[in-house]
Amino acid sequence: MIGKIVVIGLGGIGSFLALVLCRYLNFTQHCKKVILVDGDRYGRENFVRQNISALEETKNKAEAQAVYLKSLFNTLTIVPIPEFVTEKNVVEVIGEKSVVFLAVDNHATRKIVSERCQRLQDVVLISGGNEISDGNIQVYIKKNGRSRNPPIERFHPEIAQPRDKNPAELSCEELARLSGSEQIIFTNLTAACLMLNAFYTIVAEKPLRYAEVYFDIERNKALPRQR
Amino acid sequence: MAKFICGCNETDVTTFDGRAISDARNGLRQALNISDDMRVLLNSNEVSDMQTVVRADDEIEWVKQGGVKGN
Repeated sequence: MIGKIVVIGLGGIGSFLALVLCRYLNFTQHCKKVILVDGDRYGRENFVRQNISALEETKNKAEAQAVYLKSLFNTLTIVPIPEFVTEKNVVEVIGEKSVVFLAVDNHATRKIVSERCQRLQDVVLISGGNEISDGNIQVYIKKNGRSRNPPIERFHPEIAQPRDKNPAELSCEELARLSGSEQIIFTNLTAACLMLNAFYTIVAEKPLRYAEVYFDIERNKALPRQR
Repeated sequence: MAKFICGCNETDVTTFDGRAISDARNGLRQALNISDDMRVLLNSNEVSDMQTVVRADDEIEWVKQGGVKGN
């Protein structure tokens, strides 16, 4: 039983993921409550690869997506939280029986979310990240207080000891520089698809045979790995 | 024949059977895009001794860093 679904990050990965996820949830009975979390605003540079109208420029990403998705899917309760996830608000954002889609652009937030999930009894965390043409997704499942696989930072020191900063700690100038970092829409979309594939396998109660999937869009290759 | 993996890259070769993991890393560094700071898994278990000998049925993975972007 899913309590709520939380999508953290509504940019390149999250904007596509949220659209397909909400369509699926609207016509099934898995969960009707979706929380969208992002403290960032849409800028002109986002429109080349993020799923949002150019009319939403300067609007908060979580709030703009909530308005858009509510207009399409009327059986869902969609709640925007226009904030970055921090140590302070993560307890309110992620509770028991949450399914969390983590689509951010920094390891500092991944660490905060992972540590929060490890403190819960029942939670699913599906995290995705990419570089220009490759990336990975990771899945962490905890059920009845027992972790089914290692936390996402277990074999990833870049998450366990992040060198980047939480965006809530960045200045406006630093945030603006992040928005310009090079990405490709197809890489974002591949990460979103792989994350949703993992979600489907979990809610369909089929065995999930991996905890991480690496992908490379130039070779059209994805390699699932057990952990 | 041991299997060697790094990210999406994988190869099955006999070249390193009976040799140390460090030899395999040096030999496959370019082909698999391995860097020195990656964690190493031997048959899914983390191994820190790079002198551990590779056996024919082993699977060795260098855990590639995760993608950082996406928003």
